[in-house]
Amino acid sequence: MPRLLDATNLPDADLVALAQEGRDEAYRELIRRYERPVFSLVYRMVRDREAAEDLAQETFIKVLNNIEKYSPEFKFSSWLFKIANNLAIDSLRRRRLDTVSIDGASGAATQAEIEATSFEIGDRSENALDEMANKELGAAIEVAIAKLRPLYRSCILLRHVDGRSYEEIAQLLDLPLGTVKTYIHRARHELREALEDTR
Amino acid sequence: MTLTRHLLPDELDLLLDGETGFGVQQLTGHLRDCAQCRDELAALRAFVLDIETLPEMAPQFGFADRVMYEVHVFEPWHVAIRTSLAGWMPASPVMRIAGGTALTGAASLVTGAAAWGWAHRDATVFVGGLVTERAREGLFASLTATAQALVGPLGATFGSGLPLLGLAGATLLTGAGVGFLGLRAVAARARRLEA
Repeated sequence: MPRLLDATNLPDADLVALAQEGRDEAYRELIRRYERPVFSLVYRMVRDREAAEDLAQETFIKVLNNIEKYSPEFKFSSWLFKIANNLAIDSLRRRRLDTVSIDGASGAATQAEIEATSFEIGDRSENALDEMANKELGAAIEVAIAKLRPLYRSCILLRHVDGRSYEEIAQLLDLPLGTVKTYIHRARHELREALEDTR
Repeated sequence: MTLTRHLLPDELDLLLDGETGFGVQQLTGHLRDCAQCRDELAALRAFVLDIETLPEMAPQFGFADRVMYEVHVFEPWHVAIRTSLAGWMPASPVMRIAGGTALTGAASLVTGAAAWGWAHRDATVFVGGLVTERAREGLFASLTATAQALVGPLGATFGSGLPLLGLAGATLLTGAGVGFLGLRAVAARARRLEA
């Protein structure tokens, strides 16, 4: 019987190594460490608690069931967030039938990029968002972020909520570094414009 | 040379991101002289801080259990062997030292005996042959006696062909038994881990 493990102080790479050896505590510690950041990212992307719960769960299941494929030259959290973000973007694309596509990103060159950056407003969530739009700044920011194009939303959340570097975001979203910087700058400006009345 | 106009939004973003590349010096130079641009940058910093301090959200209670229900925890064979061997390790340090000493002593003894046997190969082969012959005779006698006890005098006739067959059978049975128990232990462990 393996000895009980105090996993709370171990770095991610060690936890992953232990998980690869079949240590249940290591799996649970990885979930405990990242359940909130992953759920927050996914929830802010899809704006639906139930869907976010399912997507966050799917993210962890996907990652942990493939833990033996993890390559230590990348950060575990980058891998996790990449999968979470991809699942959230896929979910938004699937929900396109319920939504109205307004516009693609001005710099979008391919059809896939236009689709990925199109601005979508869900009928149901729009009402919920309106209800949420009270005078509190935090809630107003949440609403403004929800109205950004999906890729702008991913970039701004990864940069300013999860504190990722530009390089990491570029790697995570498979985008050129310059594009990431542009998206973040544009997203900030859109947010500031949207929040001008609130501040 | 300093700028004669106010900073553009992209230039403010560069300063906000702490860029240090070519041209940034000119922007910081302008910032020193222009209160309006300083205020603008401060407002941008405050705005970013507001985003950065958004609270984290938590999934529903029992999230980890729901995830773990779908995750297949698998212990590789080399880890299973290592864990099983670790199970034989005594818990107390004194016993560990004693066990280690005994093991080292036994290993030294075996190594010494092997070295001696190699140096005196003729004698080793002779003694080995003698021991094997004695063991074979002993086994033969016991198998014959068992056969006689079971099926009477007739067993003695069958008994004459039994030793080699018996030896082979016993080896096969022992091997099969050990293999079965080993596989069963590994399967039970995997089931426990999945549960």
